Amino acid sequence: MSDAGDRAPRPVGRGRQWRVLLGLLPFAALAVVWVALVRVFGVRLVFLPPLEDLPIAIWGMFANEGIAGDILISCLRVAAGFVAALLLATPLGIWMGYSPRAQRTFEPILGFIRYMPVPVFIPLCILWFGSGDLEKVIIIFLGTFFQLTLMVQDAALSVRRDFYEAAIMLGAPRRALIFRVLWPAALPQIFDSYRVCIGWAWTYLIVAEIVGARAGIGFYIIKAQRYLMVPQIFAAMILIGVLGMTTDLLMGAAHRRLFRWSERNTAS
Amino acid sequence: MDDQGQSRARFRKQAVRLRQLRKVYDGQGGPLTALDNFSCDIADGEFAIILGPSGCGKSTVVRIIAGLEPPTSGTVLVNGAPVTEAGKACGMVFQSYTSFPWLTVLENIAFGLRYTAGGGRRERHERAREFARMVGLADFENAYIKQLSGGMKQRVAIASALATDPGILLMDEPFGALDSQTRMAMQEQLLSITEGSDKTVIFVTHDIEEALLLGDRIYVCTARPAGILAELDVPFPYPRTPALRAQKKFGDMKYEIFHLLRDQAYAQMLEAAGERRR
Repeated sequence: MSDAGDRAPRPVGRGRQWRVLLGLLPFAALAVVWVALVRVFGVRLVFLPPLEDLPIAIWGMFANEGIAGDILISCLRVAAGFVAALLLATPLGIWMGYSPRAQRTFEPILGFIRYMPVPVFIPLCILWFGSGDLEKVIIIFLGTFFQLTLMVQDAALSVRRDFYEAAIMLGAPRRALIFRVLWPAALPQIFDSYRVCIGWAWTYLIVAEIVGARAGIGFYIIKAQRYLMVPQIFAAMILIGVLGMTTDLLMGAAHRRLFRWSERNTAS
Repeated sequence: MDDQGQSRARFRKQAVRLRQLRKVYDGQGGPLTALDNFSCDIADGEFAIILGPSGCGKSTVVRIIAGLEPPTSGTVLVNGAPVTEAGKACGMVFQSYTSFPWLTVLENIAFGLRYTAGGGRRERHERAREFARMVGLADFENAYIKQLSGGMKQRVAIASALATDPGILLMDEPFGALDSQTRMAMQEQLLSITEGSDKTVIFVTHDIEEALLLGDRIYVCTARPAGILAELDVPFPYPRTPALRAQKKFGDMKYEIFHLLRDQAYAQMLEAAGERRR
């Protein structure tokens, strides 16, 4: 029934370390290709810096260029935009998933707006809100809210109908069904939607910061490009990757902890 | 009296009265009549079996008694009154596993007590614990549903339904998804639970042996649209055991019902085949 249920049992103990090693293999392959491109094929340093320059570049970013401040600003922007989207999308999505009338009312407009690429909002937002933090937060909100609402709705709609009937037959009044059945039943999938959306939030943040900003990681990349500081561009990209992956790992761990009961979380 | 005493509660008042029940669904190939002219009276305290071929519409009967669906026409009286709100007079055990996976076994059994019984969380759990013990799940109180076998899941569902102390317990093929050994064990356990109580049980099944083992009275349904084909009293005394299956009378009755049902099952099959062609 669940996708995890069909998989072979996971190895334990030493097998766990081996799994982590497996995940590192593509990284190693990427490094080999990189070094080969520079050393063997002689790609010019302006396009691809030597791999060994990257640690120095990363160190320099923190030591001399105050990247930590940019990271903090970027993280706060993501957090603000994403939390705002989450707080509005969750109740709206649940309402749409519960009430067919709400679904009929909101689904067309959400479906319409969500196909507008987020960058098309940037010129207007800069016009209305300037190019400060507010504009970045709003871009992230616009990029995630519509998608997230529809994903939450989908999670709410996928709650088994017989759970409602079972609750009713146990004496639960209709008004209790949302909080006592729909919400707990749909929460793991809703949490998954959060996890996906926070990745998009990072993307939209960088887009907004590259188009116009005075701080943040995206701004750092644009600055580095202007001065042809290529190692710094790569270093910043790696940083974004690490930040994104950390968020995702944390969300994944939280999912396993919060939803031990879920069929998907096989370890119990 | 001796004669009648064997099948319980013959003379008590009616728990459920169905008159001229009709239910029509909007199917893809036009309207589909699930029930037609379905009438019966189920006495208070009776273990009533609704027996019929698969897909004949017998589940619809309990869903209507439960209040989960309205009949297209006809009268339904539960404890003498029309059904206005589902879940008030009846508890229900479904064929699908409907225990809530986000709750532990104990929390599942206590779920309905929040709405039907007074007291705080502690008292509710105390009461739920009794029912967990009754269905033999005392050691699994804190387990989640995904950790249980199919039979255990249905025991949670039975305990949850019984904990709210409904006057009428509806069971819609509750053992239909279980393997035959588990099924027999569950039948025995259900017997031991219901023999000591005065609950009305309305149990839907297509299994003739199950019907004879559990029921006081069997309502045999026709092929779709379901109506009453025959009503039979099951004369076996309590306490009943699986050894009943070895009795000659059991075999005779099984054969008799088999004959009644065979034509209906054929009719059902032919109709299903016709539908597929259409």
